[in-house]
Amino acid sequence: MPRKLWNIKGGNDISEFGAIMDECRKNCNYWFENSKVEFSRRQANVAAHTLAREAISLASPHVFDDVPFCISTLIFNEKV
Amino acid sequence: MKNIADNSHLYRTGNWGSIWKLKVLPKVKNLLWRICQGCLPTRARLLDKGVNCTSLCAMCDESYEDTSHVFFDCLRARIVWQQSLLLSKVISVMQKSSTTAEIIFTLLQELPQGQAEQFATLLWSVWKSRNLRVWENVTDTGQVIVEPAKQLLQNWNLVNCKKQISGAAGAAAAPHTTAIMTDSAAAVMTDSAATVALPVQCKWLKPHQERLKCNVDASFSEALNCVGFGLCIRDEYRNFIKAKTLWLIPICSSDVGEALGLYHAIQWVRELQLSNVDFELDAKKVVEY
Repeated sequence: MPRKLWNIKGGNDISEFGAIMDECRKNCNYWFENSKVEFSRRQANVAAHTLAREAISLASPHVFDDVPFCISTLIFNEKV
Repeated sequence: MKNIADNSHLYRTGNWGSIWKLKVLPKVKNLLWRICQGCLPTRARLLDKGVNCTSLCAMCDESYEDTSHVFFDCLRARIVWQQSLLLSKVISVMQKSSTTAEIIFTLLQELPQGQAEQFATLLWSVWKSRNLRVWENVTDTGQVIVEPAKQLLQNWNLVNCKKQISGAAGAAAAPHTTAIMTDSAAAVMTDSAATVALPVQCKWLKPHQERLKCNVDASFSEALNCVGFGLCIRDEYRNFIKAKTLWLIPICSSDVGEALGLYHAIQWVRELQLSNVDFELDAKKVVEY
């Protein structure tokens, strides 16, 4: 069972960052065969950014099986 | 305003539009406006206003420092115009004009757009270099003025053209995009100042064949003391597969937030029992860890 990392509070921020990243790497290697973590410019990450902003205004976690309204135009535009 | 006070004596004739329509940094336009209004604090102007200072040019220490000297007569300025291949044009316009403003307005009108932008940016650089000399005792050579000015203009154009392209792509997308563009514009500005300005990939790219891509991002709200996460999975045909939003209390640093975003993305993808997913974030520190 992975630790609930988000419960770690305060302390050294750098080690907190490192601890989360170590956990990410461990899980990623353990569960997935060759998943990569890649960098994109912000302009290429607008869908996730918009959702992250939307997240704060929602009362609870949401999973969307259909395109959420806030990114519908964007998803459409990024189809081409 | 006209009815309240007569300020007609403040009007200056000139093609002011030719300054404002230039595609250059706002600070450059501002400087041109100040030169043409005659309110740039050259030593001539300072003396005129009763400041106790020398009247000699800060660069050559030989002539009376008014705007026409600083920008067009001073040897330092001449070197700049020579190296930017504008000298013959500048001199021919100078011979026909009686004031600095007239020289500037005429050149802006007669030069092709690209050269006019360069000319304007160089005016700014000449004044900047003069100020560095006065206030920080730094002396530039002509070449040191011309190259950074070109770079300045190029970077600005790069950033602003990109703005238009991505702006058009996501035109109706969301009001937030404006803010994002501004951020990234700033990022590009610093990037390209160090390296040669290359066009950078700024559109979302589909995942590789038979793979999915999960885009991840975090947002932060001081007011709500929380960090929000957005996850969005799409396939190689750019089809939307699933998205997820969640948030956590308390707020954290942006590095930790982005790392937590990735952590949650990995957890979620695992729950969905997907095994062919790549993750994409705009946080360099996380990606390079």
